[in-house]
Amino acid sequence: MTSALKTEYLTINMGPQHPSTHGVIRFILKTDGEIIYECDPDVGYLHRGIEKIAESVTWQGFVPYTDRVDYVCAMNSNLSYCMAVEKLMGMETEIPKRAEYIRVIVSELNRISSHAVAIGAADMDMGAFTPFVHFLREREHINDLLEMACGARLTYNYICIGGVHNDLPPAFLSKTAEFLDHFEIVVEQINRLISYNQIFIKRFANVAVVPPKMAIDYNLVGPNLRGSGIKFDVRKDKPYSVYSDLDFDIPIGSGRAGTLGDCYDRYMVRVEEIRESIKIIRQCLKQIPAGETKAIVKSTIKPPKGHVYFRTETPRGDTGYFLYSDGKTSPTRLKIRTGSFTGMSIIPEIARGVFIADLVAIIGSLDIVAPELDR
Amino acid sequence: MGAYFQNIKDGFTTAFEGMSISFATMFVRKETVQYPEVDISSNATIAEKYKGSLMGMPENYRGILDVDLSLCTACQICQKACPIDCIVIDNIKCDKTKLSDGDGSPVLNRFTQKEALKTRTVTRFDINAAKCMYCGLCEKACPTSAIRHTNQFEMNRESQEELILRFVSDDVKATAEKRASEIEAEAAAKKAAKAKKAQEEKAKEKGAEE
Repeated sequence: MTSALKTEYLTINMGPQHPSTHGVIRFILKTDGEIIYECDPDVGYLHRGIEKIAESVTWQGFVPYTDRVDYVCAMNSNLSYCMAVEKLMGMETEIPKRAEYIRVIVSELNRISSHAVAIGAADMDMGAFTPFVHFLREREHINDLLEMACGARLTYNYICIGGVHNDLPPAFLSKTAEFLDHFEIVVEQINRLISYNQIFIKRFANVAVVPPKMAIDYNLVGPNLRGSGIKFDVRKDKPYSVYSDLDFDIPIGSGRAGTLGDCYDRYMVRVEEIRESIKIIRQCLKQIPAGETKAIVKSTIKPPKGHVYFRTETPRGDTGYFLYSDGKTSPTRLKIRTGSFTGMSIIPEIARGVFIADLVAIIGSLDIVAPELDR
Repeated sequence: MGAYFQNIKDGFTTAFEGMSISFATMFVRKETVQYPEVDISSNATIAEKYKGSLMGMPENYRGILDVDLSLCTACQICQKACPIDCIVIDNIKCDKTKLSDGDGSPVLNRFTQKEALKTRTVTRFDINAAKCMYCGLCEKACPTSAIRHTNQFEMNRESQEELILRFVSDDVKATAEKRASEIEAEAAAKKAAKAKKAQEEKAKEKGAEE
C-alpha cells in the first residue's frame, strides 16, 4: 500500500463575532493544520449605507454622519468632510485663522486617542491586557477635553462648514497643555511597559512583512504605508489647514526589530506619531490667534455644480471625500475613501502561510476599524 | 546558543521592568468614577466624593433635548435642521405677541438681532428621544434658544412610545385650537365686513352715476 494519506484543507470561520477583530469582520480561513493556506476577508457586516443617506440629508446635516464613519477619530472625519464642502464652495480662504488652529488641535488630540486605542488593542490581542487599560485611562482625559469643547464624548459634530460650532472654553488651552505634559511621560512609561518588552517584540517582529513595493501596489495609506518605510503623509506632502506652518516629522518604519515593514514597524510608527501629535498641539497652543471661529455661512447651502475630491490624514490614513453637487441642497453623490479598506485588502496576501495566531497580530497592527471599513 | 540565552535574559529583564511600572501604578490615584454613587453632573459635584483627575460633565453637554415653549415661535427651523427627522412640529395661528423673558425684556433673534415675534403657536412638539442622535444641530439653528440640550442623560422607559417627548399637552392644544378658530372667525368676519362695505360703496357710486 503506497497510496499517500490524503490531507484536506479545513475551512473555518474567524468572526463575525471574534474578540480580536474589534467589530463585525469575518475571515474565511482555509487552514492546513495551524498554518493559514488562504484567508478570505468578508466585509460588509457593518454597512449602514452612509453614502446613500448623504443623498437625502442637507450638506450640514451630513456632518453628524461623518462621526459615525469612524467613531474612533470622529473629529478627523468631520474635518475631512467639512473641508471638502468648503473646497466645493470655494470658501477655503474665508475660514478664520483661529478656527483652523482649533480644528488642528482637536483633530490631533483625537489622533492621539485613536492611536492609543490602536496600540492598546494590538497589545490586548497579543495577550497583554495591562497596557490597554493604561491607554484607556489616558484616553479618558482626551475625551474630557473634547467633551469640554463640544459637549459630546465620542460623536463630536464640533467642526462645521465654515469653521467650528463654538469657541473653546477658556480653560481648554491650559488644560490641554497640562495634559500633554502629563501624557508625554505616560507614553514613555507605557513604552517601557510593553513596546520595549522583548517578548512582545519577538511576537511582532518579522510577522506579516509588507515590502515598500507591495505597500504601494496595494495602496496602503497612513501609518501602515509609513511602516513600510515610505515617507508619505498628506499633512506634509499636500498640506491643508495650517499644517504648512507647523514643524513636525513623519516617523517611518526602519526595521528596528527585524525586517522593514513588519508588524512591529507599523506599531512603532503609531507610537512615534503620538509624540509628533504632542509636538503639533504644543505649537498650536503657542500660535493660536484670537478672533472669530466661524465664517458666515448661509443656513441653506447650495454649492455650485461640480465635483471635488479632498483628502486629509486621519489616524487610519489618507481619508478622501468625493462630492458631486448638482447645485441642490444635498449631495448628488458622495463617496468616502478610507484607510481601513486598503488595510483589509492586503490581508489575503500577507496572511498566506502564517499561523492563525499571527492573523490576530496582523489585524491589530493594521489598525482596522470595522465601521470605517464598511461605512 | 548564546543568542538563545540572551533572549531569555532580555525577556526576563524587560518583563520585570514592565512589572515595576505595573507595581508603581498601584500607588497612583485611582481614576475610575464610581458612577451612580458619584454625582457627575458638574465639576463641583464630582469633587465631593471623587478624588481622581477626571472632570465632571461640562455645561454644554449634549443630553436629552428640552423645549421652552414660552420662547418658541413655531418657526420649524429645528425640524428642518434635524438630519433624522426626530422633531415633529404642528403649528396654527395665534395672537401676534412679542416674546419676552421672565423679567419683561424682549427676546432677540440670535441671528438678526431683531425682536422675536410670535404669530403662530405649536399644537404639537414631539421629540423622539430614542431616534435623536444628540448632534446639536437643532440647538444651533434655533433663533430664540427655545430648544436646547440638558445635562440629563438617564432616560429608561418601558416602551419606545414613552421615549417620545411630547411638549404640548392636550389642554394647551385645545385652547390654542379654540383661539385659532376664533382668530379665523374674526378674520373672516372682518373680511366679510370689508367686502360688504366695498359693495355698499360700489352701489353708492353706481347710484351717484345714475
